[in-house]
Amino acid sequence: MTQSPEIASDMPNLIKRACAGGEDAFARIVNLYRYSVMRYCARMIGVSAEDVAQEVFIKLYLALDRFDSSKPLAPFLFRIAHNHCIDIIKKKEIKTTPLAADPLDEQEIQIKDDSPGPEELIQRAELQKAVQNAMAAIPALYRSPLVMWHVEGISYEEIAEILELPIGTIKAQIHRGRKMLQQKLMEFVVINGDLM
Amino acid sequence: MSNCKEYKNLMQSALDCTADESDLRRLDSHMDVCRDCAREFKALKLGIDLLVSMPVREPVVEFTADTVRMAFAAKRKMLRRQKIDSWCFSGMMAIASLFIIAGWNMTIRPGIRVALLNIVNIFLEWRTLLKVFKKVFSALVEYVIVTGGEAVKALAGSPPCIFRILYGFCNNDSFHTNNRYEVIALFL
Repeated sequence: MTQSPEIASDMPNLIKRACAGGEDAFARIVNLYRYSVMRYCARMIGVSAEDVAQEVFIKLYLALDRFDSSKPLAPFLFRIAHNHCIDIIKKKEIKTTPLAADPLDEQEIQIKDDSPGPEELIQRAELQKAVQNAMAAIPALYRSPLVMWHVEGISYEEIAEILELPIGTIKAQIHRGRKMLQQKLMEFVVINGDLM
Repeated sequence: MSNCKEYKNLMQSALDCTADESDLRRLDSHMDVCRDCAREFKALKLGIDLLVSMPVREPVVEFTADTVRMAFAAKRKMLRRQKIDSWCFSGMMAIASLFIIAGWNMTIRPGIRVALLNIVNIFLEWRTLLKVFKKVFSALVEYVIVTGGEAVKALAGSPPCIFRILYGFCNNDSFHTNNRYEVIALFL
């Protein structure tokens, strides 16, 4: 959510240019937020994050005329992303599935993991699968603020603005989401504190 | 164990980054003696760490270009649809106007015409009545002129009564015999 001051000051100009039909201006906006939106959609829905992110940006462009360019764009964009993900979950177009079902993602996990031990790799892969399953089992109501707070680093105030809920409710939803995640992972944590 | 609930709240504060150093030290020292809390906190932290570090596939190179192209196409489509909608609306309004005009000409206007004609007829009937009254008045004036001063002399004794006068006018015999002075008095 945090962006450099140059980008923040340039954003109203970019938005105006994009509204006027400037493809390069809109391309810059997409480049700025594409990874955040994809990450959010991936954690909310699990699969087809790229397609969903594209749909979010299309919706953003269609609604950009109505947006007050003096305000920050990120909460507006995340509201669109949230509503779109909720719509998809409600329609059950995409059944919420674990994230790394894609072999490409699994490959990436292995590349990113610095520890060379094969046992540790298997452990980590299993744990990640468990987290993915746990996330899929958490209701979207709790999943969304949990992802926004922990993954995107959005403040409580901004989450409250995005989801149009009081801050107290957001805090409670995040706590409940964490509790649910914890309950799903308890079996992987043994008494002495070591994993698995 | 009794105050584990307090430490569970502290765990949440620690994850929210709102707990201060002394709170974190207290939590650490509690977890050294309470294995359940240690396990819970470990699970909490593990879940959050894995959630944060979970990899997401990098967008493909063409992602931005494709998205921009699709967004602009969607916008053009939306504008075209809006234009079609506005044309459809205008067409529907034109058809509705035609129906209204046709309805006006076929039903409402003839009705109004009949009503206006009725009003004119009523007026004309009034004019007929006025003509009748005019004739009556002229006849009476003529009568007064013929009878001369006798009628004026008789005025003082009998007050005029409109009903009797009209009755008398309708019934010619009685008019001439009984009420002639009253009629003259009324119209003079």
